[in-house]
Amino acid sequence: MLFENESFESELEGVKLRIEEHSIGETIVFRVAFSDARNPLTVSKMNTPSGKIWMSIPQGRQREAEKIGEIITEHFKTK
Amino acid sequence: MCYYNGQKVSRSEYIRLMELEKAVANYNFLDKDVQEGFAYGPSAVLKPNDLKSNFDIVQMEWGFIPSYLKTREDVKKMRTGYKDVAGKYHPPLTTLNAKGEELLFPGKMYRDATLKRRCLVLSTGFYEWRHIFPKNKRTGEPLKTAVKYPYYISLKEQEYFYMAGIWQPWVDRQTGEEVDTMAIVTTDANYLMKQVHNSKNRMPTILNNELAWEWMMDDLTEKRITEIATNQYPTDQMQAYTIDKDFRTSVEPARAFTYEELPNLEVINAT
Repeated sequence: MLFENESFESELEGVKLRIEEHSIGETIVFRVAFSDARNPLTVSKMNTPSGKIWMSIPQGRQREAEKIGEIITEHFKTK
Repeated sequence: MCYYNGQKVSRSEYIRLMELEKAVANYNFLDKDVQEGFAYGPSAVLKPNDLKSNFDIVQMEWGFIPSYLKTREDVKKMRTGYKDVAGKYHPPLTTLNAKGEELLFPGKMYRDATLKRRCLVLSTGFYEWRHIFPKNKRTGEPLKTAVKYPYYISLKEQEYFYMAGIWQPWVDRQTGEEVDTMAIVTTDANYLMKQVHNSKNRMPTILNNELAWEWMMDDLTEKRITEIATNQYPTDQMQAYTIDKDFRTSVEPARAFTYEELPNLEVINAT
C-alpha cells in the first residue's frame, strides 16, 4: 500500500491501546487512545542530550509516554 | 538548556517542542474509541467551493467510505474483513488508493465521486519500500524473503505538491457522525518508482499546477478524467533516497540514511 500511516492495537497493564501514526509537518507523532476513561495521549520521540526520549505532547504525561513509546518502538522493530 | 517533561533538552529542541505542542493542539485527530478500531488518519485536502470559483483546505479521513455502508461497524468490517452469518469470509477491502485507470469502470464504487467530487491531496513527500531479494550464498539463487528498505520520495525544488484525489461525504446512520472521506488516485509507476516501489509498480498520480486545477475545477469528459488520473509525473522531476528503517519513530523521519549493501537506483534522470 502506498504511504499508509500505521495504526495498531496493543495492551499496557491490562488496558487496550489503539495507536495511530500521524504526520504533523515534518514530525511523526503517535496518538494513543485507551480503553479506560483516560484522555487520548500524543507522544513523539525527541532528541535530548542523553539520547532520544519519548515525550508526551503537551507536557505532563511523561511516564505514560515512555512506557507507550517502548511499545511503539518494539512494534516497528518486529514488524 | 531547557526542560520539557522534566527532561533536559537543548533550546532549539525546546522551541521545536513548543511549536509541536501548538500544532498538536490545533490538529484534528478525529479521535475514536479503541473498540471502534478506527485506523485511517486525516489528511490535508483541497476541495472546490460550491461555485468552483475557489477552493478550501480541509481535513478529510483518508480511506474512502462508500455511501452504502451504514455504520462505523460496517466500515470496520470492510477494512478488516469479516465472516458473514453463513460463515463465509469476506477479505478486507482497502480504499486508501484508487486505481486511476479503473475509476470510471461501470459499477465501480469510485465512479460517482470521480465524476462529481475530485480533490487534491497535499503532500511534501511520501515513504515507500523497496524490496531486495538477497542471493543464497550457496546456490546464488534469490531468497524467497525480501529485505525491505524505506525511501523518501519528493519532488525536486518543490516544497509541496498535489496528488489527485476523490472524496465522498459519509454519515453514520447510527450516530449521525458526518465525515468527508477520500482516496488517493494512483497510476503505473514511472521509471524511478518502478525501482523503489518494486513490489507493486504503482505511484500516486502527482499533478503539476495546471493539471491540478483542471482536475479539481473543470467539467471534464470521462476520457479527459482518465487521462489526468493516469498522469505519470516525470522521473527527472522527482527524487528518492533511503532513510532509516526506524524512520517512523525518528525525530527527522526524512533524514537520509545509507545502506552499504543496497544497490543504487539506476539513472534516475531518465523519463
